[in-house]
Amino acid sequence: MFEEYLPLNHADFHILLALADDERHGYAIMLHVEELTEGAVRLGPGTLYTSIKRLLGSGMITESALRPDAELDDQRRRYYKLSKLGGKVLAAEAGRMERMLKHARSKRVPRVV
Amino acid sequence: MRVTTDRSLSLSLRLYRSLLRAYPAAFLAEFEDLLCQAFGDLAHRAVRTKGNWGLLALWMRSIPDIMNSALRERFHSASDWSFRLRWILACSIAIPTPFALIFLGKFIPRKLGMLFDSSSDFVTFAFLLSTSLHGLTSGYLQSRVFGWKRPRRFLWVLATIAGMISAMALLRAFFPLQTLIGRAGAQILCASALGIIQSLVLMRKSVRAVVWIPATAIGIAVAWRIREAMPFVHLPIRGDIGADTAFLIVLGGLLAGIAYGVLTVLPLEWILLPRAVPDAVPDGSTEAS
Repeated sequence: MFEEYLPLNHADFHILLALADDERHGYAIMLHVEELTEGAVRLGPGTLYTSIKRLLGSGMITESALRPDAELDDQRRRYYKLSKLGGKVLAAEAGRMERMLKHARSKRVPRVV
Repeated sequence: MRVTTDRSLSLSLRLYRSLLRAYPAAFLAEFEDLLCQAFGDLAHRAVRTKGNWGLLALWMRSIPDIMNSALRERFHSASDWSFRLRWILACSIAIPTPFALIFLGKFIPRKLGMLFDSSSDFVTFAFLLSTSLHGLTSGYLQSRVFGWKRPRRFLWVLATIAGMISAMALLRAFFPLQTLIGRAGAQILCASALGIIQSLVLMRKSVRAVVWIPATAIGIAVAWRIREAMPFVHLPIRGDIGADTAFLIVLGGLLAGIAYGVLTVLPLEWILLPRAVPDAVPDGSTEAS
């Protein structure tokens, strides 16, 4: 059922990955992706929210009811979390990438250090 | 230095919000504040770590980001495109349909057929009937696109009929006006009567409805010009008209309808689509810790 969503595009994959272990708001997702990729991937607000809109529409993520304490953060922020479907799609995509990597290694593709 | 940085930040946030107009209105209604907030957070971090150079680097990334994502969103915004296509389709069917109906007058008894013939003694009645028929088909088909409730749809149909009659009557009554401001100018002026009456119905949605007056005036005037450009437009409706000529007259109406639909769809969309957030610049200063 979730195979129809594969392969995921770059931004969608990173957003789902960022939400895999925690609920986050948009800016936190951007920071997490940047940190996780050591600055190689920087999602802009436009790319982030157009992807979020699509992921919400397909049911891969949902908006969380979580709101931060008003003293700690802006309450207007919206938090997002991974749905069951999103988790399955993410796992399937990670598996697909793993297989691709395995194939690439079996072909003795030179490694970039 | 601090003042300069604050000004750059404030200017950046304003500029960013104005660039967001590149996105479809429906998308902005939901995400405009969030986009500005995220950009504000990034801008504050950039300024804090690298000063104005950091802000410049952020802009270098943000402009392609807006362009790419806005373009993608516009192409994927099915609801916007569906609305546009339905409006253009409604207009393109609405204008030629009365012509097609009037041609049926060829096949109805002569006395009844005279009602549609502007050269007969029934000229005023014929004018009212044919203009009302145009107003009715346009108003009905257009109102189906809006997705409004029945009473407002009915109001739109009435407004369109009244507007069409007013516009056509003005054009006839003030025929000398054409020598003063030219035929195109007179047509735009008279067609604005339709825009004024219809905008009263739209006004309940938004004060932006005033834009509908010039939009529909220009749209109707262009549609009229297209119809007039057809060499067969002045042929009598009753008489020996072949199927080829009838087809061409309906085709002229179809082209005029498409032109009207294309010219008016964007102003209409701008009037109708909701905006959930005001145009204020957010403080955007709440970077997550």
